[in-house]
Amino acid sequence: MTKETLTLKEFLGQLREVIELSYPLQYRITAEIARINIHYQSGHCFLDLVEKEDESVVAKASGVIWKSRIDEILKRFREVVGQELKEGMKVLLLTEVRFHEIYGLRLNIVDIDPSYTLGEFALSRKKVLSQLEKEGLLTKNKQIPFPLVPQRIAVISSETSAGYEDFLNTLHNNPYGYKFSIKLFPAYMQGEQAEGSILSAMDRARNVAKNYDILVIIRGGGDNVDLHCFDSYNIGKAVACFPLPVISGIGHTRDETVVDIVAYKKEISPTATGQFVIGAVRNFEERLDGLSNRVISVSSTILAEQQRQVKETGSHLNIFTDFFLHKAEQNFTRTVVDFKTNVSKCIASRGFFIDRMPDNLASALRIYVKAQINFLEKQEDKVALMNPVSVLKRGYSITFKDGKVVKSADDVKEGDRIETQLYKGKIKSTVEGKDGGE
Amino acid sequence: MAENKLTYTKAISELEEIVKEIENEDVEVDNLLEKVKRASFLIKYCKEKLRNTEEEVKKVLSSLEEDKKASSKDEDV
Repeated sequence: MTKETLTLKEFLGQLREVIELSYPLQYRITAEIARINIHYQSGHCFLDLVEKEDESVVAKASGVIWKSRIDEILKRFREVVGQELKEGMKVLLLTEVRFHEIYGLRLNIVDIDPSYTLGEFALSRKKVLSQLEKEGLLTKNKQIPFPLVPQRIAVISSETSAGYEDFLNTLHNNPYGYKFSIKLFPAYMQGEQAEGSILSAMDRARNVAKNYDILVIIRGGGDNVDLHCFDSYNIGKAVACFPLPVISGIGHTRDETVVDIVAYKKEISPTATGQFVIGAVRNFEERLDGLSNRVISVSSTILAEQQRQVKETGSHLNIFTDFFLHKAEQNFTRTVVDFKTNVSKCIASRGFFIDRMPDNLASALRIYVKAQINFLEKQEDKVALMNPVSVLKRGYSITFKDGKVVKSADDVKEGDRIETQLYKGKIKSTVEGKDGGE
Repeated sequence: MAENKLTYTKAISELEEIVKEIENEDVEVDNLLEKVKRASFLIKYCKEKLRNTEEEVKKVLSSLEEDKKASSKDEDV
């Protein structure tokens, strides 16, 4: 029904009245921040709020946080969520509805409930994780065999970060004197550019991955810094698919990030990450020391056994030598006796010639014979020194059969008469039985 | 030289092989000395490599090689 004609101002003024009278309270609204901007002059914070369905915008409105409220709201948000309020975040707003003849409909944001955003993060993190799980990426990096000695380390970090410094100090000052070669692939670890920057640094590291044993992601600083990018699907996937084991040293005390979960290993700080690496090298050296001790112990056992065997063989040899010398001595004594007899015989039978020899020749011959006998007697003494008596003294004995030495039970049969030479005296006996032989 | 390609993995698996052999008494006494020498070379190599850069390890390695040559010459004499 059209009764009268109104000016725009009159019309919008009526709308304003209707809207503000119909919606007089404060309302709880959830929305996503599409744009956020603090006006440099006024200090008010202007936002574009949207709602999306399948990534397309299905509702949109403007919002404002007045300067008087902004510090308190942003501070509390930062404390609870650990991040600045920014684009892309889902927020729960407490708003008043305002309509202005020039600016139109605007939501006046009185407060923001940070715990809602935290819950949204957890939800999105959960979605990312279940997506990675679906693709089989959750445990992919953990399945890479860990290098025996993680000595060549590729690092994703920012050059100036305290965390990177801590990591370097821990490695370089390790108490065992291990040397590490560390290559930094620099990236922004926080802020809007972090995700892209980290992804490109990981790409560069991937191209030279064969020169390294592990990849370490290091981020320093406290908890109140943006960890959001470490929950991103893209970085999670890049970590999962990295060709080397990835150690996450992101350093925070909150719930694990996606990167922490897909990485080969998560450490709570850059220093702990360094200690983990040192520990792995230490394990290798301990294994080496264990093997080294086994080499020493086994080889010394073997050598001791060899020495024992040599000694044993040596004592067998002594008995044999004694026996041999005994035989030799017997022969020798016989030879000396024969020689003496023969010489006397010879001298007696040839007496005639000798008598007729010139005296000097006869005496020369006598001297010669005497010298020969002396020499032989001396040899006899020497042999005596090596007499088996010393062996017999120790309780060994020699058994003879028909004057031959018995060396094996095979040399005799039952009923044989044998003779045993002891240190003192001989025993004559008859074989009743035997064991062994050859 | 094949030794230049010696890695921690190769070194420790060869070392484990040697230890197993000598523990199982598969080694003749004549070979034992050789095996023990090789084992101590491998242990020394790894320990040096843990504490030195690639460049330094190469130097140490070549001096170890010379030691080895020198000692095998001694044996020939």
